Amino acid sequence: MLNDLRLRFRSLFKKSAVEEDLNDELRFHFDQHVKKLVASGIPPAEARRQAHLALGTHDKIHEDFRDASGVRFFEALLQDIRFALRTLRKSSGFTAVAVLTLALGIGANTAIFSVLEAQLWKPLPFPDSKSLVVVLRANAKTHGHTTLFSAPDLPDWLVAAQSSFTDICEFQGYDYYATPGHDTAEMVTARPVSAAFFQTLRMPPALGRSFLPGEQQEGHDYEVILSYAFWQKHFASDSSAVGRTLVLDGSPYTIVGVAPVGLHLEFFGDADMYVPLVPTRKNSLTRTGTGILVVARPKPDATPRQLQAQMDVIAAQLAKRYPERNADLSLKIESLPEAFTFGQRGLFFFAGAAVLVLLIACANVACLLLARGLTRQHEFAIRSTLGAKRPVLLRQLLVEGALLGAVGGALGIVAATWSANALNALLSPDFLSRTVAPRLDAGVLAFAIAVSLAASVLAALAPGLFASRVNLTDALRHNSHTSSPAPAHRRLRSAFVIAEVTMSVALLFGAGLFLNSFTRLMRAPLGFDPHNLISLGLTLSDKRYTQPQNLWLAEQQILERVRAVPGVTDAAFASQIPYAGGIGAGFSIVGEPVPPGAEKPSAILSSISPDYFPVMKVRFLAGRPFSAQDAQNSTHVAIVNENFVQHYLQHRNPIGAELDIDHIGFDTSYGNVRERIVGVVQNTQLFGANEVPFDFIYVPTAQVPVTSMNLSVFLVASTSVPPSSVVSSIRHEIAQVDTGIPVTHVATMDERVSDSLQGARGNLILIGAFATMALALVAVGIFGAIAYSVEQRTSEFGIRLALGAMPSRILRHTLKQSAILGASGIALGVVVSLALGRALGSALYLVPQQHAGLLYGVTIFDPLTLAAACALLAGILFMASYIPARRATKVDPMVALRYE
Amino acid sequence: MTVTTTRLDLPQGTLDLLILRTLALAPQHGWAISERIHQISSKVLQVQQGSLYPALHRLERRGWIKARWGASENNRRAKYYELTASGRKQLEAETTAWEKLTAAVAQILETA
Repeated sequence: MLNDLRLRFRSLFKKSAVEEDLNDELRFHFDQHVKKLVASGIPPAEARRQAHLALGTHDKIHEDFRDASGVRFFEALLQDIRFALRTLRKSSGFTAVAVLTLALGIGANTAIFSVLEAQLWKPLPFPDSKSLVVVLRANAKTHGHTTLFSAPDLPDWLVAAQSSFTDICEFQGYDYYATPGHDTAEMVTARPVSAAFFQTLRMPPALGRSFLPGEQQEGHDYEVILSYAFWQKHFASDSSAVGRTLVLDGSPYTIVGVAPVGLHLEFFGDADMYVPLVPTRKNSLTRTGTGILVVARPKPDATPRQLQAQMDVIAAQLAKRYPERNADLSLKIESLPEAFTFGQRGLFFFAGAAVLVLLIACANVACLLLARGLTRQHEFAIRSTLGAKRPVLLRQLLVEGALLGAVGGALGIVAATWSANALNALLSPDFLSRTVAPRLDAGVLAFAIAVSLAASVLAALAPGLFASRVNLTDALRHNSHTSSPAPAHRRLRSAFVIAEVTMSVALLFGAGLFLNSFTRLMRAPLGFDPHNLISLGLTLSDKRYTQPQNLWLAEQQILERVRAVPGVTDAAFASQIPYAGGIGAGFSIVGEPVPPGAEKPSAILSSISPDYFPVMKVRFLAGRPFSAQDAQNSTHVAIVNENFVQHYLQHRNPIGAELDIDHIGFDTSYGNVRERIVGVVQNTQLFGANEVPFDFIYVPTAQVPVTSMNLSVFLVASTSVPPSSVVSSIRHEIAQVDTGIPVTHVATMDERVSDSLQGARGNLILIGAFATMALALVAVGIFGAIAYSVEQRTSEFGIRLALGAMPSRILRHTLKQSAILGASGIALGVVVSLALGRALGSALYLVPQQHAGLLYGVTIFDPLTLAAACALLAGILFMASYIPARRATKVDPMVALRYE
Repeated sequence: MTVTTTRLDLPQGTLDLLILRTLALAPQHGWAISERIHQISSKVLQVQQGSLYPALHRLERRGWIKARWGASENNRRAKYYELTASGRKQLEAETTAWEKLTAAVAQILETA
């Protein structure tokens, strides 16, 4: 077998050496024969003559020899490729357009695919990560809705599940800790992890050790493992860091290890360090308890089905033992990359747009090949009369297509390597669940090659089948310039052009919707005036701030000092500001009991200093702002937003209504506090304009107990100068009050507004880029179609003009042809777009209480946008056909007739 | 020994068998192979070089013979062919098959 390949290869590519060998051998044979004849007494000259007669010519042997080499097919293919290269090089204009067209389509799809692969399919960067699973709690009654574990659930589950898994670990989202920096405190992030964390992920620490089970107990948990990056940056990769002490939130922690270099959880962002997870810890004031994530490695021989059956048994046991907490408990096993992947819908939407661009590109190249196939009919006819069979001609055209595809694909891959990261940066963060850059790996490369192959076959097959079917007599009788295309041929070309126009309408309409929706987002009411406002995040982590009077005093001192900074006009504190997210709080309205079985209402809770609304210029719809009189021991008051009133107080005067707030997030230490509503303000946003408005409750910081909510706050300051210019002065004043308060998340409110539009802007740029490609391609397509038909009919126009036809009539006649194609394509495109819009439907819209929608404020049947898209396309089509059509009127009759 | 002008066309596949058999004794170059077949067949069989060299190439591709360049009796560069292990097996198999075939044909011709 190997021998066979080696010899075939040699025959194919070392042709001259093989022929040389054979010639040597035959010459030897000839000489031996002559020698024999001479030995039998024949004179040498006569012997040579007889030998020639006896042995015949060498040509036939060479032929037979090559047949015996089994390289005929490849040889023919090589010949086809050489021929195709020559013809493609000769018509360089055609080749350039076709190659660029394919490169555009293939490049766009490859870039999108590389993002899809990195986001959805690539396994996590741990050894054997595919076997890792996530265990989630679910309520058997509310199907599909899963939650994380909370601390009380954990110990019993861990005991019960030991037999199903080889390793189980738990971890949480990271927390912020203050650590002493150069002048003032700095913020670091630390992820609570269980002792088995590194072992379960098969990523043992690079230095030192993992946590010990004993360190997961309250009071024994003052150990820390540094991330590799933090260790490099802050300890200069010094191995003596292990054993040293790091102060976090005022307490000394011992560094016991350094995490390995490649440990990235990807879905959750990278923390600076790891601390022991203490499940029994009560929610402290500085730490909100968050859900606990359980990741485990099942025993190697367990099937998913068995595993789920074991979980069902455990869930039933837990439900029996703790009926109050686990009544309807079910446990769900999900594989790790899939469990946390979100945003597929958005990614697939753009992948779909890219596929449309590719299809347009294919249709374009098919049109070009078809036109060329027609001009080459003469060539094909001659070749068939000389004995070329139809498969040979078809193969020739497919080889040309494959060559175009190969070069286009190579260019496309180059373009994709350049653009994949830009694409990743443009995509809305809502679609990217993993922090991992797209890479051009083997999978992506294989995809690009497959797409190139499919595209070239798609583009070359129809023209190939058509052009290889040559009508000999017709083709030979006419020369290529005067023959008018066969009706079937013209129909095929028209079909391609119409298909291109149809798909372009869909893309243009889509882009129009995004543009429309983006301008609406830009104009969406913010509820406040973002100009000349600076915001800074402060964390008061020191223990003394858990005393309300200390916290109040520090905030007052900071506000006084900041107000005195030149350029600052006013300042306020708030636990929540627009575009920075917030915490939900459960509440009930006094006198309106929640019906049994109904979910308790919740709203975003923000604790603010009295000047917050004036500083942010939030308009009051009713009632009054807070004042200094709303103190600890006076009546507790609250302000709600417009949305809150619409939802809960529509039927009555909101002023004077009373609320009971009973918990914030996971934190139940808030206590039952009754608040009287004294004012109603405009809606402001939690994340961005593209959200269903949230309900808000504002309370004065002076009146609420100290919780995690008001220990991590924002300072907002209005300025009379560019807001960024006062940041360093404000930092200085904060340090004057307490050097232990880290300042983070500094941004002007204008920046926050702009950042909140980042996703929508990226969407618009992406779909806009695809629509622009489609427009360019369809313009080239129709230009080519009209230019070609004008060229075909040059002599006809010449005769008409010579006989006195008006040039304007010829122009009209030619334009009519493109108008018919364009109009059919646009009409079909409208139908397809509306059908597509209907099919995508809800996928294009935002989901209530989330902010992952693609469109804002427009409907998928928006008639104005659709009309604008059609008009733009019609305009482009007219321009693209007018230029070649005018050429028809400029035909010189004499020149045209001389063509004959 | 009389010189006969009768030339027999070889049935399909027999040439391969003859070449393999010829090479079973010792490595030979192409001319020697054709001469040897010519002589041993009492000059009945004449292998044309137009069939010989493609056949040699075909056998080489199948791995039954190996070729290498060497020096001929009169010190000319010549390509020598020799049997490989699998070629030897092939020769045995083909010989058995041939003998069975000829015996069967002969039997039919005698008795029928």
